[in-house]
Amino acid sequence: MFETGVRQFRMAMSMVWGRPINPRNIERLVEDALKTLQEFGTPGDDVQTLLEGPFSDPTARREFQNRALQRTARRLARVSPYYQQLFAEHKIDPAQLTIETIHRVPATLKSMLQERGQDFVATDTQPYISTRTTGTTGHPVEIWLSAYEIELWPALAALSGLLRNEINPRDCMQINISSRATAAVQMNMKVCRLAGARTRVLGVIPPDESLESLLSGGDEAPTLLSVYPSYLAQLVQAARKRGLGPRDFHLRRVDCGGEVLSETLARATLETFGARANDTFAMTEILPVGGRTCAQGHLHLDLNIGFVEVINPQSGEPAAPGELGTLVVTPYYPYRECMPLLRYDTRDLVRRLPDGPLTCELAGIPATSNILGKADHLIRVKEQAVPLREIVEIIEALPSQPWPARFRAQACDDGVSLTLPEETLSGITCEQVEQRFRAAGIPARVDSCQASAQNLAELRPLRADLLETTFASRRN
Amino acid sequence: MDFLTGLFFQTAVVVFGALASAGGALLYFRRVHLERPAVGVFNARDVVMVFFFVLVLPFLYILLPSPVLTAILCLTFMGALYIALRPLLRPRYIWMIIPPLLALNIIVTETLLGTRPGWQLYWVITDVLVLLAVVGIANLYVQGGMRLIHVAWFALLLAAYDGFFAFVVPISQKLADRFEGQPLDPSIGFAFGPYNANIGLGDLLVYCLFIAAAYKGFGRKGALVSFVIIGIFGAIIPSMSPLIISAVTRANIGITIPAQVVFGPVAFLTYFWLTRRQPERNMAGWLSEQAAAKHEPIRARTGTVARANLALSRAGDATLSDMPGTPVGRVDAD
Repeated sequence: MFETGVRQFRMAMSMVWGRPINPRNIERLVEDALKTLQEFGTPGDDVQTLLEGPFSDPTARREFQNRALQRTARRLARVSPYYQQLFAEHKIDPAQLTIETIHRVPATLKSMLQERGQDFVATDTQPYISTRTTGTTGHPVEIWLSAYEIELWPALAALSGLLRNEINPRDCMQINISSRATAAVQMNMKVCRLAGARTRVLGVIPPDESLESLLSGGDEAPTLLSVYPSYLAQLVQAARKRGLGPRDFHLRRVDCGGEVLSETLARATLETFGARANDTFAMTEILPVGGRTCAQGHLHLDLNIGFVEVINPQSGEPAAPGELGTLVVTPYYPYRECMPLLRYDTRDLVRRLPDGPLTCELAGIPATSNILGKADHLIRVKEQAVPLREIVEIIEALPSQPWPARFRAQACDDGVSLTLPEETLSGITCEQVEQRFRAAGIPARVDSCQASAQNLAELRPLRADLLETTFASRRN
Repeated sequence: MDFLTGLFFQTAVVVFGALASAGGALLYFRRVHLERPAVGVFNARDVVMVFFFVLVLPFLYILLPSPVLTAILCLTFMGALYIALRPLLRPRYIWMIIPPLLALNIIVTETLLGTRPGWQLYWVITDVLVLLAVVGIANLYVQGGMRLIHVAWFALLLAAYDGFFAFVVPISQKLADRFEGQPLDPSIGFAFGPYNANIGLGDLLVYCLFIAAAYKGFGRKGALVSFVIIGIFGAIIPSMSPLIISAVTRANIGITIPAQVVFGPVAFLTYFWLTRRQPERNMAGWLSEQAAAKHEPIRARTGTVARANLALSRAGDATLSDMPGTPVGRVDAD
């Protein structure tokens, strides 16, 4: 108990002074958490207060954010060639940056990372591993991580996960995300190792093979599933086709991310697998900042690790309450070390929540709406903005259960022009679909296309299509 | 005849002190739930830490000037009493009770110790303070995960320590003399006629730890065995030992008995006897049994605690509260 107190103190001091956090110290705290759970069955009484943090007090939050921003910006001015140049060009003093003046720093865009990737690598670190984004936006980006980051992030996630009972030593996590998402895969594997849980790294393989894995192992079958929503949709379809239901699985949670998870699919997941689909937010470029969605559908981003802004995509100014905006994120030092970014524009659209207190279970942490889609995929019909989520929600709720929703959407004179595969329209006419869109306030014109490979390739890209083949599928 | 009367009086006081504190610790363990930190379990290294303080504190007590010693004892008692009373009373009531009790003890010590009723009043106040403090601290450790194996080793180490400092280097006697008539004497005692007898806080702590840990680990059987060995080997035999060991008697001052010399080895053997029949139950086992029996313990009101923690968690006071909540099961977007 005394040692645990010392470790907590060391961790706290690193955070207060902005010094690198010793990953081994956090790993030992994870071991302490495991022993605590073994002895008591649950963490201590004040864990909820501790996990929520001090951010319900706006003054405390502001002080913390200003100090963390200045610390991060000062380091960037020292070690990041890109930001050295940017600060000089815009005459920005990093030591004076506050949450009120941070908007003076131009947002960093993905294109800048693609063009000048090496200029973002901090000169005082040793890059260890690179991870490439999967390129759903058309152009993959290479992000370098240091050994420090690769050790620290899972340790922090494991500690938080154990205290929140998001993972425990009895769990087995099945990972059905692209094997090329090295950061996410490696992080999940290490979180499991630290928490004493088991891991099955499968990748995006044929859904029936993943289903077999979910069913195998008896009491040691997977209890956690890490998956893209589009691949989850395929798993749900495959399970339903085989007549499987909640009693056949041991899952207790399904962690989704990277794509829009519709309410219909989340409900179908619960009905089929008996586990709640947990809509998380993470992004390679802004790791380790992440968010979780509460029961009321708010996205709560972790303010301890990064500064989050919601910016109007047109004006670049902070979005007003109720307005659409993109998430602009600054991961703080010492959490992000190797390729630090200041005001990275994720292009992920959210809606700012109305001012006022929240009433959800994560009310202590400020929130936005959940992710509505990419700003670059936003369809504008006259003055109306139609984000991807609104289209996905309607299509995935169609009686044909077309999961994952495949479509092509673009603006046309009289609304949104939608092209849907024929099977999506089974049991319903194009006019009825249009009616559903109109009922949701979206004028739409619906056409169908045949399910040929060429036609499908023209529909919106899904991560489930990043299929990794196996010899098992070839034999079958 | 005077020696024998003194011996019986000493035995009565020691038996009362040992069994009352052990009984109090047991009752408290059964009924009251102490808050514990989010992460952390009492382990072997903590035993070493506690033993280190037990080793060092007596020297400090002997060397420190009286006012400094009283100040340290005040702080120690305040902490211990707050821990014990926190689940039972609201903080404002606790602070209305503790300082007046400590002040009363000091005033009585300074003004009334020349008289027999003064001594008796002094002992009544001191006994209440020490009883509450030792029950609270023992429960803090045991409810914090201290197991009977830890207590058994602690008792065995204390046996060696007690023996060494009673028979080889007579610190224990000096310590007893140091606390004689000192405010907040860390012991339970009483005065009757010409006799003044007491049992020290260290011994009482071991008995409280032993019975609470034995009850947690082995249930009713553990508690019964503990009462028996505390009564016989922790109170009666040590109190009667002056009949055969002259080294612990001092002609006209009193008797200083190294009780752990007798109790420590017995406690150690008792642990092995208990574990031979069944494995030691942990806190989770105890808590689930209580939940199954629908026993709702007394615990501190969480609303107040939450506010207190929030106050401690201002920016700059990073604790685990600033722990990043990176979600498990990460799936990245790009």
